[in-house]
Order: sequence, then C-alpha cells, then structure tokens
Amino acid sequence: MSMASDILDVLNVNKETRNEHQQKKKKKHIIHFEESANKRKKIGAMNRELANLMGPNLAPINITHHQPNKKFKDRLTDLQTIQPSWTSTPFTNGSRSDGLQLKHWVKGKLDLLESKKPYIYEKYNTSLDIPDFTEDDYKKLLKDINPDWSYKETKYLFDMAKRYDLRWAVIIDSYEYVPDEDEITVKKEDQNKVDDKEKSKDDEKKETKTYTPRTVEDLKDQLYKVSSKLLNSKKEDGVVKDVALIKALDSFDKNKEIERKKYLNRLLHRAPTEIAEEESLVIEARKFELAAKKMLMERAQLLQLLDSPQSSAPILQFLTSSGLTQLYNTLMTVDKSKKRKTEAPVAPQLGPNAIPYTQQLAKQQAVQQQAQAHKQQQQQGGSAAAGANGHHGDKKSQKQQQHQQQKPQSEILKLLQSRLTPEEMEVYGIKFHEDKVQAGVYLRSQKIVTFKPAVQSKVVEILNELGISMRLTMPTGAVCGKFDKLMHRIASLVDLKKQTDKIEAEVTLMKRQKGML
Amino acid sequence: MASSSSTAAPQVYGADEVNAVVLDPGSFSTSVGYAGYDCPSMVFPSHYGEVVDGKGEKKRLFNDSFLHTSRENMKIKPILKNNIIIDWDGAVDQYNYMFKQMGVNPEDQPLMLTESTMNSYKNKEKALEVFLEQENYCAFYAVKQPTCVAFAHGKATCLVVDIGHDLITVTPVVDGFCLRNQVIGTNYAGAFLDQQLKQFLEDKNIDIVPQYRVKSKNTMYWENKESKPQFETKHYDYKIDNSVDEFSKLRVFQEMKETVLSCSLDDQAEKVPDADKDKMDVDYDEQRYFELPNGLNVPFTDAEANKIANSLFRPSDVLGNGIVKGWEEPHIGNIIETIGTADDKSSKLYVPLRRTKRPEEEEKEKDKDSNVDAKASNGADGSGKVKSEPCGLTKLVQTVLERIDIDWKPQLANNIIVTGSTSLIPELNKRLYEELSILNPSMKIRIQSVGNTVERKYSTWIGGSILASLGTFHQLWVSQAEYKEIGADRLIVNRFR
Ligand SMILES: Nc1ncnc2c1ncn2[C@@H]1O[C@H](COP(=O)(O)OP(=O)(O)O)[C@@H](O)[C@H]1O
Repeated sequence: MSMASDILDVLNVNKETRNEHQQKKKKKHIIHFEESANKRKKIGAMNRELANLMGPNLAPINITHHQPNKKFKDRLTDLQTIQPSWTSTPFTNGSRSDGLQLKHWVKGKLDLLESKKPYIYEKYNTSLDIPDFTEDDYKKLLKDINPDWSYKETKYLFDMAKRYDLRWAVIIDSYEYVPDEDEITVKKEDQNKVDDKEKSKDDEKKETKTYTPRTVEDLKDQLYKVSSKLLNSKKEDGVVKDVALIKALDSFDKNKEIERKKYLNRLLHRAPTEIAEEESLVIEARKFELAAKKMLMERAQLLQLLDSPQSSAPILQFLTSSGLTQLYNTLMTVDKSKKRKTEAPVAPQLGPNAIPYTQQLAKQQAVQQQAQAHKQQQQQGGSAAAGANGHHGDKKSQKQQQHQQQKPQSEILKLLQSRLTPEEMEVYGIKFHEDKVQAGVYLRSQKIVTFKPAVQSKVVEILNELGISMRLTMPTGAVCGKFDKLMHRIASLVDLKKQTDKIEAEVTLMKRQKGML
Repeated sequence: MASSSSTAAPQVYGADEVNAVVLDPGSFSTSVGYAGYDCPSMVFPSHYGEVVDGKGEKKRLFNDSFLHTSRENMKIKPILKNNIIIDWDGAVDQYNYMFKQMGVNPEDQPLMLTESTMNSYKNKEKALEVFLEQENYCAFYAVKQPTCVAFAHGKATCLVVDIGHDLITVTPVVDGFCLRNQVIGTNYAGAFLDQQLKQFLEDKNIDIVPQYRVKSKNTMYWENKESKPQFETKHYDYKIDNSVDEFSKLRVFQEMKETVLSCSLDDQAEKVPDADKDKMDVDYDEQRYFELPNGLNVPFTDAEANKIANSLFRPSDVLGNGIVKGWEEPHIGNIIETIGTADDKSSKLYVPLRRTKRPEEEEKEKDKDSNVDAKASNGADGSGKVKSEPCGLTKLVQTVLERIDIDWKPQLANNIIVTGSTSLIPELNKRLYEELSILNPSMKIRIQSVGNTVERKYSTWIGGSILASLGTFHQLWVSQAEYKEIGADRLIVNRFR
C-alpha cells in the first residue's frame, strides 16, 4: 500500500516543510476536513488508495459542497425548474374593438400580470390625422372651393383617404364614386332629399352625361384645399395652428402637377437615339468642364512656380552631405506630390479643336523642338551620332538617338563618348539614363515595370503561356530592356483585346436593337 | 424573475406566432401550412376524385396517389378555375381533409386564405360564411395573392407577374395594396402550353397512355408516324371516366414542361423544319427525348421546344397550323372582364348606382386598350394589327407599365417580380428582360425572381405565411364577433376589396 509519504520521500520533500504546509491547510479547512473525514468512512478500497495518494494536499474547493446529496440527474431536473419555459398564452390586442383572443408563445410561466400588459405591437397601429367635417361645415365653408364637388363625394374622398392613408395610387384605383342625381342638377337640390337614391335610379342616363371621372389631381386638389380650409377655420384662442401645414397644403397646384406629369412622361418616352444624343452631350459637357479645370490648375501651378522661393532658413544645415540628401529628398517628394496633383483630372480625349490652349502650346513647342533637334543633328553629323547609328542600324534606335540628342548632353557623356566606342561602353556596363534616376543603389530587376493588378495578372498569365518566368535569370541591361518592351507589348495587346471585346458586344447589341425596332 | 424575462418571441422580425393556418388555393395546386414556416406543409392538386358507390352516395378523394390510380365510378373534378373557387363543397371537404392531417384546431387558430384579385363578391361572401360560421374559425383573413408574392420577396411596391396554370396575371402592388383595376392578364399560361404539347403529340400520331394503364413497357424511340409503342395495357373491368385520364395527363405534361421546354432569346433560333417533310436531315444532337409512361420516347428538337415555350411571348405564333384548341379567341389582356367579375364592384354599399359609370368607362378603357395595343404591337414587330393580335407576356407587362401613374412607373419597372411555376421555364426571365429593355429605353428594368424552385412555386403561400406571423398583422384578423356585428357586406367593402 503506497502512501503519499512514500511519494514525498521519493521526491525528496523535506518533512518539515511538509508539516508546515499541513498545518496551514488544517487551519483553513477545518470544516472541510471534518466533512471529508466523515465521508472517508464510506470510501471503498480502491478509492481509499487514491485518496491516500492525495495525502495532506486536499482539494482547495469541495466541488460537491452545495448539494452534497443530489445526483447528477436530479440536478438536471432542478435546472429545468429554474429556467423559464415557453407557455402558450392567450392575449388580446388593444387595437381591436372585438376583444379577439389569440394565443402566442411567451417565455416564462403563465403569469397573470402578463396578460394585462398592452400588446407589444399595438403601438404600430397608427393612423393619419385627416381633418373631419360635417355637412353643415361643408355648406358654410367648403362649398365654393370646387363647385363641381358635392358634400357626399367629398366625404367619400375623405373616407378613402383615411382608409388608405393617403396612398393616392390605391385611392384612385378603387375610387368608385358615382354621383346622385341631385349633385348634378343643382336646381333640384331641395326636392325629395330622402328618396333621391330611388329617384336617381330612374335618371341613370342623365347622370352619365355630366359626371366626368376624377383624376388623381382632382382628388388631391379637393382634399388639400378642403383640409387647408378646415384647418384654417379651426382657431384656438384666435391663433391658427399648423401654419406650416396649411402653407404646404396651399402650395399644391393642380395645373402644375399635371404639367409635371406631362414632362415626366415625355422624359420617359424618349427614343433611344434621343437618349444617346443626350448622353453624348452630357459627356462632352463633362469633358469641357474637365479641360477648364485642368487649365485653372495649370495656371495656379505656373503662378506658384513664379513665386520666389523662400530662403529665410540658414543655409548652414545643408552644407553637410546628409543635410543635402535630406533637402534632395524633400524636394523630390514635393515634386512628386505636385505631379500627382496635376495628373488628377484625366485629359479627355477629344477632337483637335477641343484641346485646351496650354496643351496646344505645349504641342507646338514640342514640334518646334523636334525640328530644331533635327537640324542640329544634320549640322552636327558628329562622330558620336554616326558611331551610334552604325551600331544599332535600325530606325527605332535612330529615333531613340534623336530623343537623346534633344537633351543637353552632359559633359561626362561627351567625354566618355569621345574616348570609348559603344562596344566598349557596353562591355563595361556603362549606361546613360535619359530620365531621372532614383537616388541610391538598386537592382535592375527591381525596376521591371509592373501594371495595375488586373492587367498584371493577365500579363503574368500570358508570360506563363509563353514559358517565360517573371523572375529573370540573367537580368543584364539588354535583357531587362527587352523584357520591359515585351511586357509593354503584352499589356497593350491585352488592353486592345478588351477594347475589341467591348466594342463587339456593343455592336451586337445595336444590331439587335435595330432588328427589333 | 419570471416576469422580467417573459417576452414575446424574438422581435427582430416583428414576428409573433399565433399558430395561424395559411391556405393558398391555386388553379393547379393548393398548399396549406402553418404561418411562420418557410414552405407549405402540404400541397395537394386542386382537383378531387368523386366516387359514387352503389347506393348513389358520393365520397370524395383528395390524396394525390389515389387520384393517379383509377377506381370504379371515379370522376375527377376541378375545385378552382381561373384561380377562383368554383366548387365550394369540394373545396371545403379538401381543406378539412388537409387540416385534419395537420391537427388544426379552428377554435384558437386563425385562418388566412389567399385569393385572386379578381375574386368575385359572392365568393368572398361564401369564404367568410364557410370559415367563420360553418368551420368556426376564431378569425379569418383573405389576402390578395400578389400582395403575398410582394411580401415573400420583401417588396412593398412592385409589379407582380404570376405565370400559373390557368392564367398569367400582371398586378401592380403599391405599398402592399394591389391596384385591382389595373390588373391585366391572359390565359396563355401553363394550360396553354399543355394544349400545345398535346397537339404536338397528336401531330406525331402519338397517344398519351396514363401511367395506371401501363402494365409493362419496352423503351421505344419515335421515328415516324407509324412508330408504335411497345407496352402491355392493364385491363380494368370497369369504365374509367375521361376526367381521370385527363388528370393524369396533366402530370405527364408537367414533367414534359419541366424537362423539355426552354425559351430562346432570338426568334431565329426556332425555325422549325416542316413537320410533314422527311426528317432525315435533322441534326440529332439538337434533339431531346421525353419518355411517355408507355415507354415511347418522343423527340423534341430544340427549335420545337423553343417555339412552344416562346408562345408565352407570342401566342399567335405556334407550332402546326397556328390554332390552339380552346384558345382560338385572341385574348388581349382584359382579364377582369373575361372572368366576369368586372361588374362585381365592391362599392355596393356606398352608391347603389355604381353601374351607371361602367359602360362609359369601359368604352374608354377599350379605346385606351386598343391604343396601347396598337402602339405596343407597332413597337414590337412593326405590323399595325389592332385588337385581333393576342397579347403576349411582354406586351402584358408593357401595357401595365404604360397605364400606371407616371409617379410609380419607374419604381415598378425596377421591381418586376416574376413568379408562378410556369416561369421556371429556362431563359423566360431573360427574354422578358431583353424585350422590356428594348421597349423602354429610358427606364431601368429589373426583373427579380427567386432562384429556389420551391420558393418560386410557393411564393404566394410563403408571403401569406410571413404576413400571418407578423405581430402587427394580428389587428387585421376578422373575428367571429366582428363578422356577426358588421356583417359580410361591409366587411368585404371595407376590408377585402
Ligand atoms: N418546372 C416547371 N416548368 C414549367 N412549368 C411548370 C414547372 N413546374 C410546374 N409547372 C406548371 O406550372 C403550372 C402551375 O403553376 P402554379 O403557379 O402552381 O399555378 P397556380 O398558382 O395557378 O396554382 C402548371 O401548369 C404546371 O404544369
């Protein structure tokens, strides 16, 4: 029989520390001890072994302390009694007058209080506040608003408005008022009011002649005008309430409404060609707007350039090399942000006449420059140019050459070109960049062009098809250049394909439209 | 503690179950179920079998499986026609049969009935009487079918295009109210297709033998008019009523429609090779076979299948000699008049003379009709035929759009809901969309329909189910007390117009 002490011995635990421990525990758990002592009697042989192994280290919390006698299953049933259950409860709805009792399921036990609470959905039972009137009111106040309306019909209209909460589409759809005889032949008004129903039956044919069916505008007109009059007459302490409402009601103009609908109708019945024309006009207008905006921006930039630079800061801080790079970097970022701004409005593609003046100027300048450069080249006929031409040989390179020459060539370049042949330059890997180069050291392969993600994925796909990997194994200058060119071509082809697809789809659509019409 | 946590059912959707029963009688099938469920618990054909035994006593059968077998002295009768109940005794029997299986207790379960917008005054009266007096339901409500469809799609304002068995109806719904007088429709719906399929088979000299008459069969392929099916008939030693045959054919047609038909966008695609000519040159890849109960496989070329389905759009242009039996009269969409509930206005109470307005108005409407028709047909195919041209699906929708108040038009055009089982024909929605877009270049047309077949078939029921489980709806039920106090007349005028 192994005891806890055996284990402690094996583990080399000091007896004293053990006792200390035990004493502390004892104080704390006196009650537990007693309880567990009682219990220990019942523990069977196997369990006793286990309990002994536990030794003096009693579990700090007696898990079954609260309900020592309850079995697991009992506790489950206990839980059920605590949890609220769902009960089918009868309820009445306060917005009903007949006290209909329906049953719904309510969480919790049947509670008598519950049924006295108002039904929760009652509050949604709202109705519009439409003024009411009596026949006397009508005769006194409202008769002259629209002479062709009778009291009865107005009342009918108000009933309908109330029933359908002013949903005009529904009201006009179910508006089935047919006038009595006296409403049309005004003179007979006083005679035999009581049995006018019967009378009018006899006079059916007469009525059909004079009564014209109402339009929505008629109904609206009558309702709004009558309401406004009624509200106006309801004075409390000499002050008319709802002034704003009355104003709104009075602003209804039947003719304007009819006109509005006419316009709307015409708008909806435009022919496809008209719509297309309109759209193209809108696009043109937008283009002009954009161009104007761009011009303004360019002018602002020009003005900014002309502003003299601020030079209040001491120059000392830029004298060190780090200061200088910092200055360079800040200038660069400023430059970049400026550039981005100017590019924001996309230059619209227009006919030659629509190009903003500044652009035209730029174009002219470019043409002039080119012409100049051409002259220069012819005059120069220099050895460098000749050599380069001899090397490349094809027209494209000539063009490049031209481009290069356009720029003022640096001294170094001239010097180098006079000393080295192009072949040598290539061997040494010397290269001159036409455009600005980012400061610092970088890898050539980093500079390979990338496109928008959508385009890029397609380009990569095509490259994969061609069996060319995106990562160049030998990124020499020539390879990178070729690769760049390839990428550009693929991108432009992809773009072309997209455009043709789009246009083709449009063409088929147009064809179908033509065919159907 | 109990009282604080006692709340009604989850309020997120404003739902409050009262165990209402929803009943949706359609011209093809009738569905019932408890409100709040997402599909009906029971769907029965809208027919019943009537068996007369030796003593002359009638017994009604409703179970689907009984109806598709034969029995002595059984006749099968329709309960509804044109979405309106015509046989109330049969209907009540059938409903009670279903309710019994569902364990409905009328005393504390309200009943919601969906009804056609063209339901007659008499029918509404009868419904109130049957359910509140006879069957003793504690409360009852009749809701318009298009309203239900709108609810099922979560739209308050929309244009509901229901393509069912007997009828196509187009109903504008504004804020949940059907504009009843704007409803138009035709009978070029499921049954119209059935008849065409029937004639198609007759042209091929094929007889449809109902399932219950077939004992055993061998699969055969139809090649020409002499092809005969190989099967053994089951013999019954009593006479089987014709209506039983007709009823089981409905099922065959339904399967045929489900599997074979498909609309096409282009009319060119449906050039049908002449049926009489030799069909040797028919491309067999473009054929689909449908196996009849007796084992005979009928070939449908794509063109034929398209043509039949497209007849929903152009009812005048059908296979064969261009005549569909039972549909000879061109139907121009004035459905209210056709069904004969036009006079059945609800304002009886208000003005006894309501009829005085009718003739004049109808005259006007007819004028308008023909104008619109002429315009529409002019727009559609350039031929200026007026009136005699039957009204296809697109034209129906277009006519409603033309007539509706301009303020609602764009919204309705943007919320066209296509429902009803016949709308399950592939490409139907697409074609409707394309044609409408071309007719209305300045409006944004959007067609919606649920992709789920069950939801499409039972969208009316589902809408009713949603409605009847809303907490805010419970104030609308018509209770027995109300019925007794107010009377059917006023109730119908005020509530069930
Ligand atoms: N998948 C389907 N494809 C085409 N038609 C179908 C399909 N399923 C059912 N139908 C047809 O739809 C019609 C029933 O439509 P339904 O909307 O239930 O009518 P109703 O509302 O009038 O009862 C029947 O003619 C039936 O044959």
